[in-house]
Amino acid sequence: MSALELRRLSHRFRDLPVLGGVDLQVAPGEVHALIGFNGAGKSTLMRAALGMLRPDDGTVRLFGVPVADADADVWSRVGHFIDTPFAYPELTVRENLWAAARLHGVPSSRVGPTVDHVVAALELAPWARRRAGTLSLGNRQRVGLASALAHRPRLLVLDEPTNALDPSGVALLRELLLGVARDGGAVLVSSHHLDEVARIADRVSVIHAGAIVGELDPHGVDLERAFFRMVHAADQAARDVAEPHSKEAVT
Amino acid sequence: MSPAYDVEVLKLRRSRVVLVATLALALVPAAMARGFLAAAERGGNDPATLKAQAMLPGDGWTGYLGGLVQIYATAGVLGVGIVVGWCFGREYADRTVVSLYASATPRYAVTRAKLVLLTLWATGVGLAAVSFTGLLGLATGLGMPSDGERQTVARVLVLAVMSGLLALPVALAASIGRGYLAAVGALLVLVVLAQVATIVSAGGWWPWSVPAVWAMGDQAGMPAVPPARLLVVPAVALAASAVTVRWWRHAEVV
Repeated sequence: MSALELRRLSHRFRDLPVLGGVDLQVAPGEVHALIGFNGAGKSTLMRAALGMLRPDDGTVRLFGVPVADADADVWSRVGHFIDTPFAYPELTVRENLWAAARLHGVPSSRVGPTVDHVVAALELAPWARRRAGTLSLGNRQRVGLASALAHRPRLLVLDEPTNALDPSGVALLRELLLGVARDGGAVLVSSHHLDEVARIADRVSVIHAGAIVGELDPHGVDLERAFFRMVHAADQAARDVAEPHSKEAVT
Repeated sequence: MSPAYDVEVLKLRRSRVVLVATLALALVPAAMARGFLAAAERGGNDPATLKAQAMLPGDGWTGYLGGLVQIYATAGVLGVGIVVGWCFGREYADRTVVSLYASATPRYAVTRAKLVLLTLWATGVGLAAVSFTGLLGLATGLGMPSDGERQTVARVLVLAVMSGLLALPVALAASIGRGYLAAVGALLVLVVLAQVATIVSAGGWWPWSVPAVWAMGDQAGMPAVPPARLLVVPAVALAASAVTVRWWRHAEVV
């Protein structure tokens, strides 16, 4: 059973189509990367996957359960970092992680060791007692990632998680995501850095203009060239559909 | 305590907005009322004295408490409203609301916890304001209040609790408007409409004026308001809270 399964997902923002018939699955033990330009639909897809918006059409299932029916047990197995870190500026790093763990279902008796573990995992100890509002952007990003990971989710959905991270943070995150997958967790991660996803992803889906236009082999050579070829082919196909007569005239 | 209450208690405890509002509501209205009484009792023809004499319904505790009712009727809704607006609006302004989705603790539970805790906080602050009023009156030589004046103290306490309840609809404005600005706008509208209602003699009916008109009583030339009509206040607070919880349950991330 897939940890996350999207079927024929479509959505429009008023007149603007943002997702069109998206099918996507993330299996346990797999890092599935989603790459595409800004505005390609990555964030919208992830929001729909997490029940943050209701798509116009299609279905989302988390561990086999329709997202609308997901209960506390299902959500306690999901971690995410979308848009903004879970980092209330008036709370310390530890307090933020404590709050995130509690809200994600960690019992109060276990929340202390849980926070200790994730503080160590994200190397946040030097800032643990500082208020989040005083942290650098990169360290706030680490707090957001720690919040997503604290309750040891079986499905992790991360939107551009390396934003604002320094190289050591990127390397640390890479190891953490590989560790989650090794332990049987499923990871869906979006990025527009091809070299970054090539190092960790088992599957790489290319999203363009709201549609999955193909998959790249993460171990293939010249990923960038393959990516642009795929995107340009999708653009050409869309133009052919929109203007079939002009193509006929040329031929 | 459930996770939603645990986390919301922590956020309220750490908030400077809540700390400042608590101190301001507990101390400032009583201090202002005592200042007005001092100005009224000073005598003479200076504008401050004349204004204080016109505002207060009498001397001693009667004037002091009468002044407090008038000040707290507005300050209570404003002060609690600012905290309510912050508590809900900040989730949108700071974008932390996104982290509250896809969680084992549903958003409606978080909303409910916020509303319950804000009501308890407003009640506690009202109690603190009334306690400080009593202490300040005793410390500044007003002596012990009479039985009638003690009844007015009880009215002030009810007013303080009601003012907190009347600020809860600001949560709905902050949520629908997704930020502080809508909350501030709604708060100003509520305060202005309460003043207008009182001026046009509808204060005995308009929910945001009823507690103040009731608490001031006929001593201040206000129409008599039967105590049962105070029930309109919890009714308004409950209705607004129910709509706010429903809104949080269904609202999407934008």
